[in-house]
Amino acid sequence: MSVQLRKIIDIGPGGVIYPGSAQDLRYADNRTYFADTRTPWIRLWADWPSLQPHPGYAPDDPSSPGYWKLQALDEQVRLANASGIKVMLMPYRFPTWVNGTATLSAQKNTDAEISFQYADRMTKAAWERYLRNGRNPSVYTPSRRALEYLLPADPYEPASAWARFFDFLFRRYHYGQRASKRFVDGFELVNEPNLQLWPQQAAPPAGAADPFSQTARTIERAIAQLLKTAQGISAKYAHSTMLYAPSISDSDTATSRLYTRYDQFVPALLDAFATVGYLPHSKQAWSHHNYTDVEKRQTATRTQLIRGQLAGRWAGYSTGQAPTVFVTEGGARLTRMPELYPGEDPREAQAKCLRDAWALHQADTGAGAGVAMFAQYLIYADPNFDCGLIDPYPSTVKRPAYAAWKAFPSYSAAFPAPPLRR
Amino acid sequence: MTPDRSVAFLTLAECPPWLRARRGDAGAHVLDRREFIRAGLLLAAAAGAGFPRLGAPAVAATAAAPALSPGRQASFQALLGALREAPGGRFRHRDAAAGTRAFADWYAAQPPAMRLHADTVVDAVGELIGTRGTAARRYATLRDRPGGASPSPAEAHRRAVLMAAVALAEGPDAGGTERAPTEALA
Repeated sequence: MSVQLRKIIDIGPGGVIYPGSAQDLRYADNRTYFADTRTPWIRLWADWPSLQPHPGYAPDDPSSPGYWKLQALDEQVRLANASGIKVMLMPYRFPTWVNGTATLSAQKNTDAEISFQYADRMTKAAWERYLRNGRNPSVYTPSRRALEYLLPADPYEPASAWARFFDFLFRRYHYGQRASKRFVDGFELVNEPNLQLWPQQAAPPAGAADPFSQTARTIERAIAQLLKTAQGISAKYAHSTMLYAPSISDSDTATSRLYTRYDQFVPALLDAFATVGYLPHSKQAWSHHNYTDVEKRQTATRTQLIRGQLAGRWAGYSTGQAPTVFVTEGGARLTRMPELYPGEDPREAQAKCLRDAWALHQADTGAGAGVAMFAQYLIYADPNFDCGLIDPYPSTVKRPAYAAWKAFPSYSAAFPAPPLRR
Repeated sequence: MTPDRSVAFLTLAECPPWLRARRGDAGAHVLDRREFIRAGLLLAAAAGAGFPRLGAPAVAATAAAPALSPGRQASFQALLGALREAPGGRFRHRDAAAGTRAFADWYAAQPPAMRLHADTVVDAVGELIGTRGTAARRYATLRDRPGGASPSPAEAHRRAVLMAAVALAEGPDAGGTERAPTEALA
């Protein structure tokens, strides 16, 4: 894209899930790192199970057991505002009281929980290994989708619990009430719905021989409804704040009951817009995650493949070259470098991934065409998803990737305000 | 050989007192480039194999890499035992002794920077919870969070290190493609 390739750091969900941790903007010198790297945008996570752990309390009820986490989020948003950092806030996950799994959640890692809708939560190989080990979680615990990613029966309808939660977030933080000095510049509506959320597909017919066999996909319609419901909430506040979605994973893994590949998800989502009667307004931007492009140093990117799928079909926000895509998560995992680049020092290889990707994306042509934002997931590395700029806390050792990120120019200009098209 | 400062860790002077206790070093760890590249090769050997048990490549890695010290094994085992008390049963299925052996395997296959991270975090947790007393009492120590939404810098540091410890205990998701939040103390 070019002249206004905005750089954003996703600080991770820990600042709300566990305030005071190294993913909290207020601590661990995080604000200093934002200033030092001239990063004008931050992505914060409004973790719903943390903010509203009990259905009997609104998130802003001082009696709520989650109220202190809302206070922590408030303070981080205020700090970002005071520091001139633009905030993108994302509602994340479902409390188990919303999706009907509270009882199972109280017995995590038991056979009852592991076996619950297993075909939509784990691979067939993992399930069969679990069976071979006598369904004994202490012998083998299969990797699986968490209960908090289960879509409720009516996940995103206007009367849904999600709609009430998003309305709460919008009312509390929208840009139209920035005089409060506690506001965001954008809401991202969902995180990687083609990977994290489940089920992706309709339930197999009763008595199906193979519960892992694929059926009709349902995830795209749910996300289309999400966009429509969010648009309705945004309208209540005169569309004061930019919305971003669908924030999809770009993994090359084949479509299964667990994952819908991006190049199948996008056209199906666009088709589903008509089904639910949704037409994007001019403050709805398209967002995307580009780990694969960055990590594999791709020049023919998945981002551009998706832009090709959007061309002529996506009428949301655009700036410069349409269709415009905002990359809101990305990065290169240090743990993947030895395998991908065996001849390179892993730490330097990670930095090279970032530098190469930035160079491509700041151009007006090729991989950069129509790309308006470039993202880095995490300041401090997470050993379990190791793509940070600094070694895992409490280290303060900056990786070469830090210097690479710092060297990228900062464009903090406001978005061109298009005439509002509702 | 030119020292490579890019993989230096916290110096002793930078550590708060409770973090220093078991470091036993006089300053920053400095690794030379040969060590670093060798560690990278070890990491490559272990790539794709995660918690709870490493596969065959880890055997070679273990032979060449420092082992997790007995003291740290005891601290990690105490941590796992305490986490078994976490509500919801997130760690209840984990056998502390077996989990510690798996962690030691993982540790031996890590590059120096990650081993140093593990050392620092496990030592800090060991200082905090010790290895005596009941697991429930140790978990209560971990779960305590004075300062609420806006802790003091020292308390925030404590929380951040504890979260790092829980991340080590959780280990990477076998799929490796998702960013899963660390929650056991939340």
